[in-house]
Amino acid sequence: MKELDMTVARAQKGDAAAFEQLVVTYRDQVFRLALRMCGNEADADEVAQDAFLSAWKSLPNFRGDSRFSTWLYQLTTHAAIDLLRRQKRRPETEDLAAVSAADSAPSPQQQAERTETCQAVRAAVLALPAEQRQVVVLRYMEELSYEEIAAALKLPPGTVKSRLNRAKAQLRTILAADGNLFDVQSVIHTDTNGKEARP
Amino acid sequence: MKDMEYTEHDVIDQMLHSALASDAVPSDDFTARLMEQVRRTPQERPRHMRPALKVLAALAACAVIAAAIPLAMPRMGSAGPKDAAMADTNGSDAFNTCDGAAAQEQDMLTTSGAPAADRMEKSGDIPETVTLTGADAQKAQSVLADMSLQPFDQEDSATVYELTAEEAAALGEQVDALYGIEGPCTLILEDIK
Repeated sequence: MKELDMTVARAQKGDAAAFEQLVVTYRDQVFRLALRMCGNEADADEVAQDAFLSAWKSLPNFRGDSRFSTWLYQLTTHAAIDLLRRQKRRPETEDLAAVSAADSAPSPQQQAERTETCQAVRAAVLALPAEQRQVVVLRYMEELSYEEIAAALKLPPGTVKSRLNRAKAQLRTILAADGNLFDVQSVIHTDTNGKEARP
Repeated sequence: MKDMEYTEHDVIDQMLHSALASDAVPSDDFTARLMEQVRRTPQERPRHMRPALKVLAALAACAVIAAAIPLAMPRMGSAGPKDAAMADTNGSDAFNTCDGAAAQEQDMLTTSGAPAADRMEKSGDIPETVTLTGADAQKAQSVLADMSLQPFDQEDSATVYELTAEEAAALGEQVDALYGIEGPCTLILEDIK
């Protein structure tokens, strides 16, 4: 049995120390996912705490049908949607400055053109309906496959694909309307570390 | 050059990958705060049952179903009015009423010369089946002959009449064993001497 599986098994039996190891392993990913779903750090913190607490409570019923991380992402996106529904709002685009500040800030000269486009993309993602945003974030941030997303969200893979296509169509419309689709070359040529993003 | 071959989907994909990339981290006290809550929060009980309990639950369910089937099924009556009547004639002064599945609603009827507990149904328009034997049967046949009613069927030891409500009532006035009979009936007369 892998070390991670053993840690999960111990946590399932109520071992808080084992669960703490899992928190340390996954807290950054969960927090970032929550941040992309909610758009601000305060909400992301709350969502991440809720997701981990929910994981702790329901761990005895985690049967390992999916990976532990996938299950955790599912809890996180659900917690984010719950929070947004409680607040009855969509993520505020004003929070984008905070989101960007939380990200690594590469050289301003290298990223001068890119920053504005990235902010526009994030704003467009935050403007999507929560169910579409959930799929987009899991796909492009956590890089889960369609099947993994389907398993995490308990949806048919076809629904995942159609949600993703609808989301991308909407993003294209928003970005084109804002004139940001033409700035894409600056995004393609460099990723956050300044390396070429795609061969 | 290769970038020029990107489709619009590729462009959106790339934009999303880049824009959503993040190295944000939670606050320093994130884990401490969370673990404080974790230690105060009990875990749920496992919902999946042990295999032995599953088998026991299945057996219990089977037992309940087996017990419920006889209660749920309607009580089966005799095969038919005539058969029922034929099979249930063992006293010389007895008369029986029985009509297949409709025999569920029954009432006990005693007559002056009929000590046997006989059944009589009261189910609306469904004809009752009445069997008379011995002296009662002989008296009934005599009255029916006076009323000019012909048998519906005749076998070796039994004569069968189909009577309307009026005919049955008229017969009941003269044959004590049939007193008070209401509605149409099938009358079977047996052991006529």
